[in-house]
Amino acid sequence: MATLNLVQAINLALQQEMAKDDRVIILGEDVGPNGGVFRVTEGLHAQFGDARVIDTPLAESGIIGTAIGMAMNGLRPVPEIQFDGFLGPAYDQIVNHAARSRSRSRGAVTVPLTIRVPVGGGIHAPELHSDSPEAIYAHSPGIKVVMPTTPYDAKGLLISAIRDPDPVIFFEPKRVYRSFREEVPEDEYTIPIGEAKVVSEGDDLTVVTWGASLFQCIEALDNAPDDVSIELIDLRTIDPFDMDTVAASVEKTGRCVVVHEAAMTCGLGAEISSRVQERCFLHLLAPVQRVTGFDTLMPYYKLENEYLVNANRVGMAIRETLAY
Amino acid sequence: HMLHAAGIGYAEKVRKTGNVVATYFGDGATSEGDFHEAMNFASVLKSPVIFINQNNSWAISVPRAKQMASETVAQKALAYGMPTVRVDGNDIFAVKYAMDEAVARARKGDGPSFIECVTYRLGDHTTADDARRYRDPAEVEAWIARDPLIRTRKYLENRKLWDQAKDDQLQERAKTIVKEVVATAEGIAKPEVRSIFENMFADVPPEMALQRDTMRTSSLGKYPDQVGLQGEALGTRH
Repeated sequence: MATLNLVQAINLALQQEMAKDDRVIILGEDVGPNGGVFRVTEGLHAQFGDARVIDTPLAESGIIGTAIGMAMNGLRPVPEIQFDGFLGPAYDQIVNHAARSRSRSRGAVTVPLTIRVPVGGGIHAPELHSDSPEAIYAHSPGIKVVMPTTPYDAKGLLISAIRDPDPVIFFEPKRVYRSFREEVPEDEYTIPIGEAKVVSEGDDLTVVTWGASLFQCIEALDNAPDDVSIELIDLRTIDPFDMDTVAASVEKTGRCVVVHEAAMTCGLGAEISSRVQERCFLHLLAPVQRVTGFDTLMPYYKLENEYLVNANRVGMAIRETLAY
Repeated sequence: HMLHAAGIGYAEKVRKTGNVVATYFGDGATSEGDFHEAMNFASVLKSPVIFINQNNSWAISVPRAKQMASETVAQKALAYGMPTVRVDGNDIFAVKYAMDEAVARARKGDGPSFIECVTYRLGDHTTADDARRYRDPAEVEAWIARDPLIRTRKYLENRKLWDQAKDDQLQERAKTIVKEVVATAEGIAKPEVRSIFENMFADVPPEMALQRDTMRTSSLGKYPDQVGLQGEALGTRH
């Protein structure tokens, strides 16, 4: 079995879906001969040609709007938006058109579209290149939001997203792109959208996270006392998120810490925390804690690591919640 | 920012300053909807704006021919009813002539103008980019020969306005300035951590001040008595 990083696993999923289904089309800025600024579409232009791997004009609203039209008319477009902050100009097309078309037409006009977007901070990029906007799109009805973190999950979830009958935003934590490798089967497989993964099992406390913060959580778990048993959940899908897995875990452990890189206010941590108290109130031994980014913009690189959630803060939250 | 230029120009007009706004953008930027909205707004509002397109042929790896099917960028301005011109962007005199005309028009209250400067991106887009992956080195070589600095220098030398001694002097001065600037930049202290929370709003709202003061804690603002930035600033650790 090949050992791949996140970039390679996503590339493999794209390559296999394109080979299998000629309705799958890639479009975006620099995705062609250059293979995308992160090289995620490397080699696909050479294999599938100009008609299926399209270097578009520089216009995010244009990329998504055109992809919506393709999707409405029988294709399976997989547009790439170069950076998280560049979703802004496409927001109108995503929220007001892609997400509403099925409802607006009572199911007659659907938009099977997968928007790939590198997400998050930690690569010393300038502004608009380090945002975590997943909650904005989770809050918008009619669009699914996925954020795999490991190469194995990314391949399986991307194939599911491409085959999904509705629009999906597929966030790729760019800090993880080349940070580690794992075994990824060459054979085709899917991971259902909406299923969380229990990364490690435990009885005393549940940590819920997603995206690049997964690794700070693993570090915090490694640093936790040996007599403490912590369950770590990688949500993988942001919307619709897997509340059953979270609730089953919290009912077992009675304690929950939610960790995310995005800003705190109206972040997904608020939603999870609220649902946990609705579903698991009588099981709770401590209030749910959130470890999150600040309600500020991502600072420039010299302060970037001050913004990003670290294992120290996660470890504190674990200790406080256990001691409550 | 092209739309902002339309608004900044309008503000100059309202305030009767006689100032003119210049907005610069690449060939790729003319594909964004904002570009067309800005030209429409500026011409409808008769805003004193000069739209200056630096058409350098490449938007990262995407060549001009894939960026637009129109033969020129300049022709796009025609649709918005503004005077438009296409100049050799590596000819500083041509650019100056076009600018002088556009500035005079804007000052007279005749609204925006458009200038397409045809040029070339000699280097990579960023330090993470490698232009050799997608463009022909021969094309780059041809454009190096048209470098505006070399052209202008040759022109001045032919007119006996410039020589090797003056050039050596200039190079020395440039090196000194660059060294000084680099030294100054390297000497700038790391920004204070608390600056993350500044300039979000005119004042720091109480909730944000609480986040700042508890940023080193687990859950922001939840345990304000815990060690946070406040504690560090005071030199007291709990």
